[in-house]
Amino acid sequence: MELFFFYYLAGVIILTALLVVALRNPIYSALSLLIMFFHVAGLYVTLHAEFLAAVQVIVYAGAILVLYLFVVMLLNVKREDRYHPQFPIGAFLGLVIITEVLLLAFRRSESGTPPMPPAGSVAEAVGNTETIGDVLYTTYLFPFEVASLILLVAMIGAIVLAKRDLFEA
Amino acid sequence: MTFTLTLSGADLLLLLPEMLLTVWLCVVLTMDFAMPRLPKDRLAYLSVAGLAGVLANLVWFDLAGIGGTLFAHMFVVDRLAVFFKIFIVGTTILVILASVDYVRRFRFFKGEYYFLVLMSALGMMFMASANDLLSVFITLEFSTFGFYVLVAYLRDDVASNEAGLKFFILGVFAAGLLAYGISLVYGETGKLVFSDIASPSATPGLVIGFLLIFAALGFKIGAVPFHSWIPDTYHGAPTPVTAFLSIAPKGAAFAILIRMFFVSLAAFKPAWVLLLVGASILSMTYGNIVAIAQRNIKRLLAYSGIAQIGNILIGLAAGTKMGGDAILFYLLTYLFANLGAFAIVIAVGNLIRSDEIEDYNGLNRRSPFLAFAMLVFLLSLAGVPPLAGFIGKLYIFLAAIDEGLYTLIAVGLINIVISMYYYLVVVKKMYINEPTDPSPLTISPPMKVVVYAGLAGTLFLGIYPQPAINWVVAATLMFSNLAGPAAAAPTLVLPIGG
Amino acid sequence: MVPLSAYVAVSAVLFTTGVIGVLIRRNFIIVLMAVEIMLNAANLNLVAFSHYLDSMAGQIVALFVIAIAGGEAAVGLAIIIVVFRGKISTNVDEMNLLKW
Repeated sequence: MELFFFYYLAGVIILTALLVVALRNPIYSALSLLIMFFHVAGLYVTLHAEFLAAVQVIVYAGAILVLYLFVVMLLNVKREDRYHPQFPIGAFLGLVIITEVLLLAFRRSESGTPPMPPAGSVAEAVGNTETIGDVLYTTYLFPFEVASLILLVAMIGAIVLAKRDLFEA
Repeated sequence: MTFTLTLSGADLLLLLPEMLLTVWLCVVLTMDFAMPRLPKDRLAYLSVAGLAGVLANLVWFDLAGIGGTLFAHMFVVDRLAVFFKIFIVGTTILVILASVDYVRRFRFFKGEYYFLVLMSALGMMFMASANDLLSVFITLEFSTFGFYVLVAYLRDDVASNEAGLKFFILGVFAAGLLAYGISLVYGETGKLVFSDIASPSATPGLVIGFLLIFAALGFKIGAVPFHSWIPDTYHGAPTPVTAFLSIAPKGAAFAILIRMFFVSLAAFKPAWVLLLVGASILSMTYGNIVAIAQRNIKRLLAYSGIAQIGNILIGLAAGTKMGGDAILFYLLTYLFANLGAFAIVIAVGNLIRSDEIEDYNGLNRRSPFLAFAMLVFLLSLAGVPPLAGFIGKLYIFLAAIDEGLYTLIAVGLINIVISMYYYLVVVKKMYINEPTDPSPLTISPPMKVVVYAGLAGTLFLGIYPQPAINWVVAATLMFSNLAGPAAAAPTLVLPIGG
Repeated sequence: MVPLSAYVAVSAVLFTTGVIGVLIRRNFIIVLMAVEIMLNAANLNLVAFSHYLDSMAGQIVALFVIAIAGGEAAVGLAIIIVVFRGKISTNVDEMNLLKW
């Protein structure tokens, strides 16, 4: 059963990622990206990272993707007429890299690494969200505070660049 | 649920410079919108005052030997970190002083400019203290966000917009590479702190992970083959931002590179020496050769910057404590010479509204002071005695000779000769050619301060480098266990204090 | 039982797709989406390793990568809006004002 879920989620993720890169209409690409985000969240759930799955849906699918769609609509982006002239080289290179990368990834399993433990002992006992909360505010306090400054910079930066009505002297 | 967080007063003391700067930039932002009638120059001087306070704090840290690690080794304050923080704060002070005239030309969002410069400086200060991969990622992105906005700041200028877009696309691509590299290294070792991820076995995942991390950091410093954003970005961005971009992020990225290579990768030294030798040779040669054909002074300085990074990579390729000292000293000389040169470019750009080298014709007639200062800075960049650049290059080459990197030194020497050509072309144009418009040029007091500071630094470091050398040698004390390539893997102990 | 290498393979394919997308697409917004795919690949890797190695660090890093991706989307789209205000197309090849 688990295997079935994994194959379904992984398959859809890879398919929609390829669609994002291959489709010529930006709105279709954005919607494929949305589907990909949801299925990645599904994979997080199979990995017992429920909080992260929820954050993925809320932030990526709910905020970032909406922002992309806003901009695509705002700029009225048209379909591309043709691909980049170097597209065949890109596709070939992609096939080569993907083959190499799959070989590397599967060599791990041949060298005798055991399959995953059925449950993470720490996380399961307490629950994923509580564990993340505990760790985030103690050990990882420093990145947490820096992240707040990052959001401040992003906010002011976006306003400074994109604000339209300017009445300053 | 237990909530155990132990942060004592002594721990918070380590964060004092960053906390001061954070509070100060909030003050600057608040004053900007709470007092709209305030002339924006006052904000610049306010920022400089705050930065001077932070600088005094850092100098106190250095002299009193205050140091330690915080947050489970994620944030480290040692003399190396304090050196780089002083470097960054010093650069920011001079950049803000040099931007005062330029910002007067903006029609709006003048106050936010200073806020963003301070934010980027804060991010780079955090970078200097980053001791694990998560901190590296967060602080790198934090400092770069400020720069994305600053490069595209001239909203009506197409060149600035295009520069911002190119810089941004390549920057986020590098961020993606960095994230994936970090995930691979984490997967192989299970840890993130620099000293913990030093593992003696080179599994493919670890190698690819570190290569990706190096690629992302290579984007930041602008080494070949990750340099493609540099010429367009430097050309299109507002010139004070270009000045800032050409010095401070490179220094901060080198803090991370030094820690990563000397601590985490110490066991694989023969392998990465080859990689760095290659990157160094490519950067020096490419930068110098393409610089010859440039007609725009900002692009010229951009390519010269690529070549200078190639020089600094020689020190990293040496991989010894002396190599580390050489990198730090060279960065100091590069700071004064490059910032000085850009200050002149900003001043001339403000007055003539052009950055073409042709417009520097006869600068000596129009302002002997500016021409002389530019002469000093360009010669220091070229490495002419008795200026700072000469000592910097000498130090780097000595470190490389110690390690037997003779090919690298040969290429380096050839490149010094090539670089002299294009620096001297500008000098010739300034002194010998006739100006199209012989009216005299004067510069404002803040700019004078910057030029004098650059001149003082360049001449002082060149004639009497001993205090600075003592400082950088003390800063890299923790790496004194690094010997030549034949040494065994060193014991990795994080030092506390100086 | 799903082996770890399966998750690593998926994330590797995802990362490669993102890289190829950045290199061959001409439309800037699609390029940004390809970078988001790259970051998702890194996150998948991190969460998978975090589960396999029984360590919380991976999930925390993934959380911060999501936060940074959000910030980048905001700033990047603001830059794109500034660049393309009033222009008709968002193609890469038409950006050629900054020459040699």
